Amino acid sequence: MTSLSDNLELLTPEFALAGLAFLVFAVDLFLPEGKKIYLGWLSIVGLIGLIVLSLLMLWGEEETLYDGLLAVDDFSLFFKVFFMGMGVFIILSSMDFVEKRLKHQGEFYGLLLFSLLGMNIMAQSRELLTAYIALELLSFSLYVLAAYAKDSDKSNESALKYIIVGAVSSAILLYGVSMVYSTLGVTKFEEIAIGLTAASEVSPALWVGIGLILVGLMFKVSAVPFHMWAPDVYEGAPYPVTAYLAIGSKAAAFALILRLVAEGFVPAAERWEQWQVVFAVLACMTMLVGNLVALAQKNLKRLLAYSSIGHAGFILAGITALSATSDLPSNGVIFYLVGYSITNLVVFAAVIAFFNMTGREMISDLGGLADSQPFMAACLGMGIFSLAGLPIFAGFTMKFYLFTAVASEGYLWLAALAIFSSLISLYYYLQIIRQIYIEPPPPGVNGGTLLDENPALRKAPGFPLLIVLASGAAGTIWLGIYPRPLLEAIEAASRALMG
Amino acid sequence: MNDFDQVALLLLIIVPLVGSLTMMFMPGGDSKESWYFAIFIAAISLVLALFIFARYDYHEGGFQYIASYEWLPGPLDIRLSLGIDGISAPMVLLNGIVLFGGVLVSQTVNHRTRDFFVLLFALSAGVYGVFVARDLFFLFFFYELAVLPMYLLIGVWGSSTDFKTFLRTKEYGAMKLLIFLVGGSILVWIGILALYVEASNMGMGTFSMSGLQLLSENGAFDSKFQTLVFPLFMVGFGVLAGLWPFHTWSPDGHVAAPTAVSMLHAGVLMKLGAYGIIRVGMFLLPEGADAWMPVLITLGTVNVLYGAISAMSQTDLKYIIGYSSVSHMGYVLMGIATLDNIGMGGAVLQMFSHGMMTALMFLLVGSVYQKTHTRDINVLNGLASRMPVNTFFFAIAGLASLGLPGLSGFIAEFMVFTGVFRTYLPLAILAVIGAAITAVYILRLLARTFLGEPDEQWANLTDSSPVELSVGAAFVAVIIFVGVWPDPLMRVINVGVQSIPGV
Amino acid sequence: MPVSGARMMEWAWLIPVFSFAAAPAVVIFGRFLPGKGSWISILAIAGGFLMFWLVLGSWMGAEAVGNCFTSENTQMLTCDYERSWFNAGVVGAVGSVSLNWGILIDPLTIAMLGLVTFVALMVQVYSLAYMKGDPRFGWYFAIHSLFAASMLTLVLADNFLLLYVAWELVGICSYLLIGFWHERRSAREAAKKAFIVTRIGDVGLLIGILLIWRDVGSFSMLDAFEAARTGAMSEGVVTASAILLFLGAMGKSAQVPFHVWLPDAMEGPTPVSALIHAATMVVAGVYLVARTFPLFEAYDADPLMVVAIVGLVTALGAATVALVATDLKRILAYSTISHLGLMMLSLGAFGYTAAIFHMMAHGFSKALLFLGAGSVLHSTEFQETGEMGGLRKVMPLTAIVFSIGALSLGGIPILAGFWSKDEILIAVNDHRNVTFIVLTLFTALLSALYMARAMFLVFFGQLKDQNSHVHDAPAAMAFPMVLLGVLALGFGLISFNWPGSYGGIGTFVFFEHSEKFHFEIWLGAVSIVLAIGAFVFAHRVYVEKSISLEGVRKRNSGILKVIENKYYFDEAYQWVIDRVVFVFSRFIAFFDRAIVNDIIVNGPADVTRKFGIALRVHVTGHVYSYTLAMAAGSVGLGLFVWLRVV
Repeated sequence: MTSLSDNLELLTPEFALAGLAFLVFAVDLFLPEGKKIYLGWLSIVGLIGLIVLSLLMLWGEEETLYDGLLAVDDFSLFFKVFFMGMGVFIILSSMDFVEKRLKHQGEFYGLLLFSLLGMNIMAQSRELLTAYIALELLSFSLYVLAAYAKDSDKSNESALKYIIVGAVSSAILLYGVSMVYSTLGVTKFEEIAIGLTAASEVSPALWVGIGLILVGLMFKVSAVPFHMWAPDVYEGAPYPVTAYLAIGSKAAAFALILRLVAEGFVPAAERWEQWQVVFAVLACMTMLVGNLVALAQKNLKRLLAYSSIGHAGFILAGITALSATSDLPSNGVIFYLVGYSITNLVVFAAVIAFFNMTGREMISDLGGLADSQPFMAACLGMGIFSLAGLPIFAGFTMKFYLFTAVASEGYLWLAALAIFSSLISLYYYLQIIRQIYIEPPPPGVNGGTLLDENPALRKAPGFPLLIVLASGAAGTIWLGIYPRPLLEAIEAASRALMG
Repeated sequence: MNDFDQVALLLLIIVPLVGSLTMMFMPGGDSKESWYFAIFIAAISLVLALFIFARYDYHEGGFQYIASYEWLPGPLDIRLSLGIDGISAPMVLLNGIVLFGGVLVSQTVNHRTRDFFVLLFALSAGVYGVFVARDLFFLFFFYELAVLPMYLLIGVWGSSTDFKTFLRTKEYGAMKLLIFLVGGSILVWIGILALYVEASNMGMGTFSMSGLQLLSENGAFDSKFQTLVFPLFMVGFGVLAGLWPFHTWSPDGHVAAPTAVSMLHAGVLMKLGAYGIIRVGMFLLPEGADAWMPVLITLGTVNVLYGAISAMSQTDLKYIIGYSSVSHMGYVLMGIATLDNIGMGGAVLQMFSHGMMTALMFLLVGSVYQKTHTRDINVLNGLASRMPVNTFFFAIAGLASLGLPGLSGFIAEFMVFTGVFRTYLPLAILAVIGAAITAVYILRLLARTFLGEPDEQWANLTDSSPVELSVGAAFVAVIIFVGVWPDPLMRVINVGVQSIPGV
Repeated sequence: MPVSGARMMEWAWLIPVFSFAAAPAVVIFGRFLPGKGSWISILAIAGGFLMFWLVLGSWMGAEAVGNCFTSENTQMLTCDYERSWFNAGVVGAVGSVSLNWGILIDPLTIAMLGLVTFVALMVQVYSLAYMKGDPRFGWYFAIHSLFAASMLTLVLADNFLLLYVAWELVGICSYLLIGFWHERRSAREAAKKAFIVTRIGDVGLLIGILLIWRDVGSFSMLDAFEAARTGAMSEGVVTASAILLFLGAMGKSAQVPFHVWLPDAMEGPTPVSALIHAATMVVAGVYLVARTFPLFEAYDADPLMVVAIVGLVTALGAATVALVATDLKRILAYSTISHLGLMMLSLGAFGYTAAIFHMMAHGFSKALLFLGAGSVLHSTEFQETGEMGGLRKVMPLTAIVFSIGALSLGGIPILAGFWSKDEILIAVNDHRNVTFIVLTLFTALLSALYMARAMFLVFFGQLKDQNSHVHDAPAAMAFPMVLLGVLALGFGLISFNWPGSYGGIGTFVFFEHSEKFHFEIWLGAVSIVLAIGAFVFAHRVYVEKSISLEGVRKRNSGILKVIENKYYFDEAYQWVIDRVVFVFSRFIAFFDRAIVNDIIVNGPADVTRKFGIALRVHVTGHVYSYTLAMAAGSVGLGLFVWLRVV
């Protein structure tokens, strides 16, 4: 029984991250308007520094803190680095937007950093309440960020919806936690596992509790039927925030789910076998509804919202297949998370750049992009093809890996369904490709074409966005052609998880 | 086996890929330079293909130029393993030839020229990959890679056509084509996963085809499993081979596609399907193949007759050729379905010969369309006196496709017939009749379009460009050569066919 | 001496190869050469003609050693030379087949070689003048060479595969030559018709060949005959395949109901009609039946009965049409059909020798007639007999040679046609019942009549002054006509047994047992009477005009109408094509677009999209509905979990 203050230094990155956030807030007070952009750079530099720091400090650590509330292992390290890396790119793609269209830039970056902190802790926590706190830290930052374009009604409306529905979900989650505690008397994942293995004659309250916890988490990953907030919020929120919702928060939620399921449910073998079906059903509904409704979308953001719901379905299929005997599914899930985030990053970077230039967000507005912005168009095209799961892009390899994993755990039918629904998704992805490459520029507001009315379309996107586009596209292709290095890291992570 | 042989196949795939990537970053979107560069790349890959084909040792047989590179170790154990046998060698050669021809005649592409070739090379890299891959993951990888660029190639550089009664836009054609082919490929994908799972239940999950073949030879896959999974491959790959009733993407795709794309598409891409059925279906699931052959050969016969009959009353040149492709792929499917070494050999030869002659037809039609901006055989007439050489070549291609002896088509169809006669007599008779119907629509086309007195609107029409004609001449030479002396091809194909289990 | 002789025969493959080489040479280099390179193809075929004599000589000198042997089936000395072409399946593997080039030389082949090389040579020389100034002069000769080559391959082939190859090639040459003046719609259509109709027959041929292969396991004819003889091939298969082969023969030799293409084929240049559609290609069918005779007469020779009947019907029907046709070339065309029918009939009546003999006699005579007709058309530029008359005054030579041909085919004694027809009559009389012989004699009468009619209408009577400018054939055209004329006169001589070794044609070409020349007095008498009578009668009608047929015409106007419309074959076929074939095809095409494409393909796609749109409404945009859904979802989930467990 170690005292709580032991090996506290392992949390240095988290403390530092919080520090960084406060620093940003502080500097913001002294920076004159127009110079705020430096805050962005400051946070980027800080994040990169933290990435390096955590890699140096925590490489190969196998420790737990606070009597096992937090884990410092390869899994949490992997996600820590992954989240902060994402943070870097999100900030890069936000800069132009924030500068042009938002007030109070300092807080924006600060909140972003706080949410990152929440994500990091989510990835580490091995206990329900800790997880819950981390989750709330993340959520609250997101609520604010979603409302950030404060003189846009859409933004406010969506934020309001987000808060209300989010609050309900948190309530449900918390209720579930309490029920579990009331029945088992524990909240640590591995103890839950032990409890479950023994608890055959315990009151149904336990199962209901578990169910409610799942609901809370499913809300975060916008699984059907807890997904409806997603399209509205995605559409209303400022573009970078939408990107952040689609990429960051979802990944964090899945990280938490992974750990919960891997440490809390899977060890209780026969319970898990009973529940896999639950996840399977959620996965089916999610992937089908997401991809089908996406067919009917005209607005880019909504389309991407539904597409991200669809992808959540695929990942849930991976969760379903988690098993004590093989790392394949957890590898698949993590790989998919990473690949999907990078791909989505490219797509969002492109559409953000487009929005910065034109202020339009309809699919049909993308017409003729290939002629006005060849590079952006190419990157967007790659991203879309990757989302559709076609080679030589990340989407192909990650889908192949994940579905193979699902199939090899005896869920061939689920894999088949996933493959089928990814065929459906191909249709609406191709609609975007068609706009970019085949259709002419759409008409603008007054007479001429969009291209004539937005001279910005003829200039290259800002430097930060170019970085994101280039590196993102490169990453997409790299993962599509030679994912081995990444997968080795992932295998280490999931070894730490599955033991 | 010297050092070159070790990397030959890798080069085969990499050359077009590198070409594609370098062109991506080349300046001058619409410049002629990109065409010259493309020719250069295509020439290299043609030489490679020729060399590989020529160096294939048919005395030894089996897989050659074998190479294997670790890609993803661990549970999935995916390796980039390459190798070609008597079946894939002619296909590689075919792709080399058609690609080179296609690039040459793409001189006329002057809108986003560079991007066109970028995609074209990506596509052909995929095609090469499928033919030489010895690992299911990469086979599937390249298969999708070969299909993907089609959408843009047709969508961007294609042409929409308004037939009085209905409209076929290039967007429709492209979308349909891609959805169909990917739809087929998901069946293949599921099949592959099924194989992997079954293998890993044996405790040795792998995607390596040689490994799986070993397993299947040792009876790892029971006949129930085989009969269950084989149709996935039969239909999945069949879609790309124009298997009835999954053929409709093909004529519409052709009508919309630009010349070079039609050439590659009908000439090579459709062969991928048939090849996949042989390579994956027959090699890995012989019992399943055996069980499903009656179905396949029946559908093949339907292909032959259905395609021929619908071609008879088409009025658009590309539709006629498109349906004739459906019909001719029917012979390939029938040949495969005979599970008979002659029939199968005929099928493979038919893949080659049909590839050559369809590509040639599309080339010539493309040049006609380029000059007249119509493909309607009611409008075109008497081109013979304006484009004599073009006409002559088209006649050769047409006669080859109606199975005139002395041209490649005859040998192939004749062998298919012999194979089918040995196995499914009644269908064989239907197939022979199909060949007769072919004569009807080919002659109809020739008479309507090329023969006769040209009316004044074609008064100052000139023959196809020297480039097109020289490519055409080369194709004609190959068609005649194979028709007169098929031995060089046959002895390679023979050993390949011999090694198919269940033949 | 036999060995060297045998060696000479081994080189017989050169005969077609000369012309095969000539064709591309003319196409490619012709335009740079004097005379468009026409002389190349003439030299080639001349070389072939030369080779023919050498082969003949060496065959005579040959003995049954090495590749030569006395055929079990025909009892004729036969020589067979094979080279491998390519292998289907690995050599020696189970079920693999090796496909060969191979030539088979026996009297039948030699006879055909003689006929083809000679007539082809004559016609090509003739064409020099006839086609002078045509824009596609070189192309014309190139195809002629290709045709000659293919035809010669056809008669030399020792296996069915090679035979089929050549068979199709002559078909395509005929297509190209009929449609030579493709600017004329009629020519285009005729060419297409010819190719497709024969192609339908070829379906039968190919199926037959493959059926045989299926049982025998090889394409070699000798193997097939052997199998038929020894009974290795079941009677059913032999009969079936024989009939199927005969289908092919019917197509090529324009037997009813496949005859419709031949009259239209007259759209081609007249020399083409002379060579391809009179003397050589159209007899390929007869040759095929003769060549595969062992299959036809194996077991109890049922197929031969079919052959006989088809032959008789064709002969009779065509003869009647020839009698009323007014277009000179069409008269000749129908007479050709009729005579092809006679040859088939003769084969059907075991008259093997007679058929071959008549094939040659008819070949020379009919070629002669066509060339004569050609020279008439060439200078009058009419085809309608009505526009002619009395031409013997302005073109005496043509008149003479044409008359020789007419008399020969009319069956006037001592001319070639008389003897060959006599042989046929004997055969029919010996092997078939009385109806056959009666109808055959009637056909003979008819053919004498229409020949006389044609001859008199064109060359006798009053010369119309529109033809006063007409001149006789130039040398290049005259020379071949004269040579053919001589043959038409004297070819009959080869049928007799001369003092010395030669015992008449019956001892040269025969099936199973050679027979010396013999003559059935009463038959001969009857046929002579009929023939001469016919000519005299025709002279009365068309020259002296002392007999008028108007009465007869009126009384039989109904029948006449039917005959003048060629028994409505074309109309019937046209109806089938328009109302059945193309309607069906259009239906399939429509089905493919409207059903398969628009419903089966687009349908599901639309449904999916519609479904998506319908599903979309569940995202109402109202928070309460979201929370409601969540509540419902959680309850559902809870229940589900609970049910799973309890």
